[in-house]
Amino acid sequence: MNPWATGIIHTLLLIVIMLLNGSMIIYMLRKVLGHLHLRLGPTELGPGGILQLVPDIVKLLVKEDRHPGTTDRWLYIIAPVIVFVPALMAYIAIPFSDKLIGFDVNLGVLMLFGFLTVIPLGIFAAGWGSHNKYALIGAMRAVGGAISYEIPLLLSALIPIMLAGSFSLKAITMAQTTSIWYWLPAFPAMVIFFICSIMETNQSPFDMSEAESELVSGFNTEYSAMRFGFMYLAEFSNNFIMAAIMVCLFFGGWSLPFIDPNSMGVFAPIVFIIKTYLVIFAFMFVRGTFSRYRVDQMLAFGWKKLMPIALVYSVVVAFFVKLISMKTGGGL
Amino acid sequence: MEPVLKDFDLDGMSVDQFVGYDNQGWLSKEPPAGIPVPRNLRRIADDPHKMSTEHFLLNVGPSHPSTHGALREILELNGESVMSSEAHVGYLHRGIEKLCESRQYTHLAPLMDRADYAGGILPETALAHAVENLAEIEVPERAHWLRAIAAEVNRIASHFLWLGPLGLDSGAMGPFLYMVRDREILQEILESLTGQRIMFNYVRPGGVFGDMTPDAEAKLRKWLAEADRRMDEHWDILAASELFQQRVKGIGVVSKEMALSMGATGFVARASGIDWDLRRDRPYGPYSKLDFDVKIAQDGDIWSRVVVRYDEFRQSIRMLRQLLDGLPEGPFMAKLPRVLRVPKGESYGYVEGCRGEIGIHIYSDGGTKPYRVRYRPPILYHLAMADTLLPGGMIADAIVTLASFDFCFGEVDR
Repeated sequence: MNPWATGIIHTLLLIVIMLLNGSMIIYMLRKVLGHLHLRLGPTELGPGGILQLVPDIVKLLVKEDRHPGTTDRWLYIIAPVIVFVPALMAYIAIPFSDKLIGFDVNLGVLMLFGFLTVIPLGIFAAGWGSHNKYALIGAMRAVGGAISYEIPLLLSALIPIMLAGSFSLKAITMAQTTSIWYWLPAFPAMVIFFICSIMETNQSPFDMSEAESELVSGFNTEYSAMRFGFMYLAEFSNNFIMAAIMVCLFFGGWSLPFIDPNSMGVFAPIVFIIKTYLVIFAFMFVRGTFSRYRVDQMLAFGWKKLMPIALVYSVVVAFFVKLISMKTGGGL
Repeated sequence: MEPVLKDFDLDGMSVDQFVGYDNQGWLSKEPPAGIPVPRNLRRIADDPHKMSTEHFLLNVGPSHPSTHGALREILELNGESVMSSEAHVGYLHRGIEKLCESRQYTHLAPLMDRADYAGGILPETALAHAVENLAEIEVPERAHWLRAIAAEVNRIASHFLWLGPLGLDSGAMGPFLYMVRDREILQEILESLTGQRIMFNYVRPGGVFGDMTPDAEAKLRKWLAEADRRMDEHWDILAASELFQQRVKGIGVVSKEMALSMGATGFVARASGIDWDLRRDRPYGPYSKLDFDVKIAQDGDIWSRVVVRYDEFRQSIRMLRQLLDGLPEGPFMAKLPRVLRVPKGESYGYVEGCRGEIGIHIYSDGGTKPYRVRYRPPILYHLAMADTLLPGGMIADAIVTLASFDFCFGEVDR
């Protein structure tokens, strides 16, 4: 097949997955948070209000694309793109099954985190370019949060990498089919990863850059119409990506216990997606329950608690991995 | 030229001498020599080019999600920390005191609802007290008890509308909706009792508008049966959360001296260690016959206010049980002439409102309409403390501190 055609089909497929995921998470947000908060969410359009998404998306698409006169024009226009593109590209390294993977690079975890690190840059551009004080404070908070939480995030991701002996998400998944899932030996790392994922995806209790009650709407105060839609789509997509990375690293990816990973066939992607949405469900439970951190409390929590724990735990795990590999002459 | 406020002493000055400021915070004109200008006004009016480049002014409000009405708070920020703050009020001013001067004494209650839109029964009661004192109206005992029932139900409803948004402002959305669920039940009870959900017009000079309805009593008894469990749930869902406690402990501390000197009343005073509750210490209506406690906290921070107010919920529930069981028989309205003529003189009616002491001072010149009405909004005095409380904290602290005073801007701006 023509490599160009394959490339285009892959890209379109990614966009479709991203949009579907966006609509799925919007629906989950409304229903899961709704039921947590004693309300019903949408009920009128379609069964269970599922068609409510259509008018919402149409509204975003047809709204006037306005921008305030005092903005830094180019930054303001390009910021949603900077936020959106990495969130889209990160899909290519996610292994939905052993065959359904866009691009199995052997440094997959690093590549994913590399893409995700670009997003705070876009948020900062949005906040700076908006020429709005609330947006600026939100942008500063996003950068401060990203710096302090990406270190423990990467340190906790390092533990499954050490256990599996590979940076490839596919190899980490395969390693978990022969041993136990890594959430058990790497339990503290799993908890830290979960907390940092919430921070990375800008959700309550770490939704510093938006902080509705303080900063009106934070970095996206001045955005409307589809630019705002892009910001949100990217956030939902990040949600999926962080949950997917978590499933790969700690919950065995597309595999199931006691089932031969080679006989999963078409069920593998379904299992993977169900697991991912279960993690997103957990994110939403946290989001619907707690109050927000204050920004200094959040930074203190990241630097004084999460980072030392992650650091010490990774050293301990490295020590034991080395000990076992010296005994057996191989990986775990 | 006469000032709009009839009791304002001009002391030989003309109105034109007063210096105002426009909506940007700039002085409207150079102050004439000898006229004192408030310190904070002068600071805002400084030349911006001489201001330090590190600080910036953030205009929070009057339309901001967390200013609970129309408060404009000018925060001088150094990064996230608040260096100084300045509260501007008046965006919801509707001239309620002035409007009172053009209405008959029996027609003032609707204006009181519009002043305190979260707990309208309480200023209505204060107004009725003031008019009854002056006109020497004998109020039936049953009317007093019905007023107290409506007031306590309304107090709980108003407190829910404080605690929920306090959670919202600290970032927890869930508790708000749980509290709105309970508030809705209380609103239905009030609707059944008074015929209205917010603008009650229930308490009038001489008694109340209507008798207790069987529907209201049944609903109230049903809610009271499970009220303690509901309050435990509200405690668990918001106040017991460690994240929430982290946000409110040691923040917005009102010392006892400050509370006394700034005229704090109600829960703010009680949270700062002042043992004062008008229902106990200057009892009116049936409160001297009721058995209830007054909770005091010593720290004066937001957490103390939360603790004090949680106990107020519980005491109101206790009182409501006693009020329902001991409701005396008899008429609910005194016999009044069609047009109430109030003798010359002045009187002050007070209640322990939802947020502190609500006082209505009426000056009568012997006609059918008051010559001058003064509404004492408790929150205005608490708001005056904000300018000294907010500096030193962060933006998030400022928002939560403001929310903890339970602002009702209909009342502040009147």
